[in-house]
Formats: sequence, C-alpha cells, structure tokens
Amino acid sequence: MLRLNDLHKRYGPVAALAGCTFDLERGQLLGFLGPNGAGKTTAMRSVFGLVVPDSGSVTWNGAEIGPEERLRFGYMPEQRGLYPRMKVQDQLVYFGRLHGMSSSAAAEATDRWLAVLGLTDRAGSRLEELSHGNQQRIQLAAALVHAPELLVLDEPFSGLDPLGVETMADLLRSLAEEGVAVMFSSHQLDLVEDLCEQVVIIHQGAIVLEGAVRALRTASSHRYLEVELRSGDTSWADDLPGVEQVERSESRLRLTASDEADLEDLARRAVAAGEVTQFSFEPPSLSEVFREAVQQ
Amino acid sequence: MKWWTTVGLVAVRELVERARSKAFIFSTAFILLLVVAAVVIPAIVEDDGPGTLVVVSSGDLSDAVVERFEASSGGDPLLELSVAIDDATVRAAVEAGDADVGVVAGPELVIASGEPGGSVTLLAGVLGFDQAISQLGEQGISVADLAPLLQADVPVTALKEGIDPEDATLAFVGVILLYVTILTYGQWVVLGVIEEKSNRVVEVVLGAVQPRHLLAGKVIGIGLLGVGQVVAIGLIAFGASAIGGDAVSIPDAAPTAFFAALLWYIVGFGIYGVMFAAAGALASRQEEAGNAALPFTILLTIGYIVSFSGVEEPNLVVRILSFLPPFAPVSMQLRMVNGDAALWEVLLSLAIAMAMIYAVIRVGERFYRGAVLGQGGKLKWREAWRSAEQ
Repeated sequence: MLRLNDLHKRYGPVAALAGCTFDLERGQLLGFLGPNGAGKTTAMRSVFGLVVPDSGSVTWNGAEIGPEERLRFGYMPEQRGLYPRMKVQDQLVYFGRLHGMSSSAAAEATDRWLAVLGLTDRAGSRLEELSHGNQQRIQLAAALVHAPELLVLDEPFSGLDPLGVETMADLLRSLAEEGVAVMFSSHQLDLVEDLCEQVVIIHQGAIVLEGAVRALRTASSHRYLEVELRSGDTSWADDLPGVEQVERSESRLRLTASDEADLEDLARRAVAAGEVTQFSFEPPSLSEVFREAVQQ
Repeated sequence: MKWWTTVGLVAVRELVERARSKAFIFSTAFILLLVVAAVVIPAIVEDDGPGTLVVVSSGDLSDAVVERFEASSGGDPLLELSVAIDDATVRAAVEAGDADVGVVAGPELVIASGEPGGSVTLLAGVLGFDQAISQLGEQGISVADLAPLLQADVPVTALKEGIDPEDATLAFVGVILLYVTILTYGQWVVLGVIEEKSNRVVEVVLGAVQPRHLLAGKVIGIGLLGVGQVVAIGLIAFGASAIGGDAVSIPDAAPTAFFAALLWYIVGFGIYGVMFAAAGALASRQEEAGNAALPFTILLTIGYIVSFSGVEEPNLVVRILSFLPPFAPVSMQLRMVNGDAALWEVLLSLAIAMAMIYAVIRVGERFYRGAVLGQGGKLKWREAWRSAEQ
C-alpha cells in the first residue's frame, strides 16, 4: 500500500503541498484529480524521490520508500521523454534493466509489451522515427516493462485520440485487476468517472475530497434537477428558495437544490407552469462534485 | 540492485549509443587517418638513409682519405669515389652534374658553381691533412710517430640541459591530444546531460536511478570512449611505424608518451568530466552548452597554452602547473614525456589530482542533483546548490 502522509512542500512563497494525505491499495485504480497547480505532479514526483518534501512521509507497505522500493514502481511523467535516437527495443530493455531485471527477462518483457501495443515491427526503429501516438505507447511500455507493483501516471490520457484513450483505459483496468496499484491524474472527469471506483481530489496542496465515486456523488448536499416544459417557459423557477439555476439551454433548465429547498413545491410549480416533458432528479456528476470541492 | 550494476548499465548505454553515432565514427576515423599520415608521410618524404658526396678524381685517393672523411662527417654524407683518366674528364663530369665535386692535380677541388658546401669544405680539409702527412713522410717523419698526436680527441660538452627534439615533438603532440580529447569528450558530457534534461527522460531515469549513479555512469561511459580513442591512436601509431619498418623510427620516449597520455587523460577526465556534467545540468537548452561549460573550458585552455612554453625547455611555471590538478593533466604529461619530471613529482601530482577528483565528485554531484530536475530556464550555481540542500 502506498501512503502519502501529511506532505508539505514549499517553493519559495508557493505551497505546492500543504498536508497532502491519501492511500492507494494494490489492485486499486485511483483517479487523482485537481485543478492546474493544485500539487498533483509534486505529489506524484515525491513518490519517486524527484521531490523531497519539507515534511511528511511517503511509505510503501509501511516502510519509507528508498531506491530499492522504487525499482518496483513505474512512472510516466506528464512531460514525456525518452532517448530520441535510441532504438525502441534497446530503450525498453535498458529501462527494464535499470529496474533490476536480467537482460533476458528484460528482452522477453520488451517483446511482450511491443506485441501488446502492436509495435513489434518498430522494435528496431529509433524512437524519433515513430509517430507521436506511438512514442506515447513506448513511454507507457517503459513504465511497465519491469512489471511494477505500483504504477503512477501523470496525465496518461492527454494527447491520445479516442481509440488510444480506450486502449489506455482498458490497459489500466486490467493492470489493476492483476493487483497493480495504479494511480493517474487527469482532467477528463467523465473518463475518470467511468474508469475509477476511487478518486482523490487535491486542491491547493491538500486533499479536499476522497472516496468511491458513487459515494462522493450521493454524499453531496446538492441534487441536480433537470426540468423541461413543452412551452419552453423557464420563469417559473425564478426566486425559489434553496434553488440555483446552473444552466439554461433553450427550454431545458438545470438546477441545483440544496437541503433547504422544498422539492414538492418546486415540482408543483413546474406542473402548474405547463406540460412537463422531462423531470429528473439526480446526484451531481463527478465534474460537479469536483467543482464543488475546489470552489469552496 | 548493486550500485555498480546501475552505474555499469548507464555507462554501457552511453558508450554503445555514442559509439554508434555518426559524429563519433567520423571524428575517430578522421583522427586515426591524421595519425597514420603523421607517422607515414615524414617517412616517405624523408630521403632514405644518409646522403652521398659523389667525388671524381684524376689521381688515386688513398683509402685513408675516404675513411677520414666519413669519420668526420659521421657517415652522412658517405663518400662515393670514382677515378677519371685526366683532369679534363673530371671537369666535364662535374660540369655535367655527374659528380658533386672533382679532384684535379694540385690537388685542387672543382665544383660546378657557387660557394662550396659543408661537405666540400670538409673534403678539402681532409685532403689538405692527407697532403701534410705525406709531405712529413717525405721529410723522414714517420706517420707512426705522429699517429697518437693525430688521434687526440677534443671532447664536446653540452652546457645546457636540453630536450631531445624527438621527445619535444612527442610532448607537443601529447599536449594537443590531451587538450582536444578532454575537451571533446567533456563537451559530449555537457550535451548528454542537457539532452536528458531538456527532453525530460531524466525524470524517468531518476525514478529508478540515484542522481550520483547516473552522473558516474555518464562520465565513465563517455570517458571510456575517450580512452578507446587514445588507445586506438597509440595502436595505430605503433602499428603504422611497425609496418613502415626501418623507414619509420619510433622515438625512445614513445611508450612513455603513450602511457602518460592515457594516465593523464583518465585523471583529467575524472576532474573535468564531473565538472562538465554539473555545468550541463545548469543549462536548459543545447545552445547554452558552450556558455555553461565556459569556466572549465577556460581552465583547461590555460593549462594547454602555458604548457606549450615548456615543450622545448621546461620552465618554472609549467613545473608549478604540473602540481595543480586542473592543469596537471596537460602539464605533467608534458614533463613526463620530455623527461623533466622525477618519479616522486609524478606520484605527488597524481595524489593531489586524486584528492581533487574526490572533491569534484562530492561538490559536482550536489550541483548536478540540485539542477538536473530543475525546469524552466538556466539555473544559477547558487540556486542549484541550495536546491540540493533540501
């Protein structure tokens, strides 16, 4: 289990991490969310010793993480980078061996991953000769070649086409099923909602929300209403206590209702205003949960 | 995983990837061609063996004349003697250029034109001497009595300790070789560090490898490439001279020069390689490579320029520099080759250099660690130092 415990890190006047704490179990697929500059990358880098926190600890199975532990981790940084002029196969074998594999095991794993990613025929090409998408795949393979117990990916979906997103999502899901602890950061919240059971939301260096996606959504004090009248009238919803209009598109209204809102009254007013063609009442989406969490 | 396995992996990657690069293959091939040319061309251009002075004489010259001439000339030129029937034939042969000098009755020497050269003057002296002896013999003075007097040698003593010109040439070549090799491979370290940093691969590598091991592997890998080049230059030079046979002479100091170059390249790269790596870590783009490494390039260049003053004749400045680690690789190599350095001086200089290498690794590693993960623009030395504190 990976545990980040009360991490603090300052860069001059800026607090990149301010009490960041969360856990990641093996077999878990964790979405790590937060607005730009919230401290996601700093937290991830701290796992690999690329950032040394001012205080707090990062542990793996209860022990402080050192060079030996890191050999069993895989990392795909946000800013991708491998050796441009090195051959794809040599490169993956090299990273396998840097993580302690024997040369034969590294060669075997390289062949396997190239086959999985459909790049066997590019094994002898230099990295720079590959398309951007294929370079991205090699970057992923470099993080996976040594069969890590923990996989940390910074924005793995950015820059991928829809097909690439699907492949990546399937791969992450199957890795988690195999027992790898997987965490990744992303801004594509719909995707995260589909893919992850667990999310952690970081804001201004501290975790503001964490848990199962479903639980987070239902635990929200807000409910979302979508109401549409055939007449297209929307004025009936003005000035309702505890109700806020979030979105208005032509005749459809999206509203948030807090605890103090009188939902029965709201329904009555809608019916009185005309024929209701749609009326839904649901917990917020992950995007809305996220927005609520970081706008406090 | 053992640290030396990691360092080894990094070093091998640096070595193999760079040895495959066109830049390395072409530059090495070019340098080796230069070496072959430097060894072989003088052998081809140089006249083969000692010269000869072609003499034609109307009278018979005694063997003693030939012997004495060649003893005086040190065997160069040798004397090639032929006899003509009369003085007219001798003059004709000299005028036609068939002989360098003719001996006619008198005896008198004739040459084609101009002033007599050193060999001709020497021949005139030997002939005069021969004539004097025969005249003394005619007056009843036995040559045997005179012999001991004639054999008297005048010793020649050199007043100043000089350096064998061949050793000086070798030392000169060694100074250039060391400077160029350390600088070339040092630049490769700078560029290699910047490349890793600017394309961010360093993040992935340092996720698994500690900065000091990456630094060590890089310097060792690229350094070994330089060792390979120095060894190749040595082998090619010795090989070319072996194939050239007698036409090419190997100076006595050649093995020393080779050993000294190799030793001081390794020591020099230990010092400069780490400094160049730290400098590279501070830069963020390839264009900054030259500027980042400038302080160390200047240091190396000072040693290089000053050492030239000691090629012909060792001087105090070179002797002092040969004990100061940043300059010692070039200066002490020079002194070893031209025979100016005593063994204890070499060992002392080595010991000082080793201490310097240790210090450079400790300090350079910290700058490297503090700077290599930095993002954005060029870092200052102070920032890198502070950053590594945390």
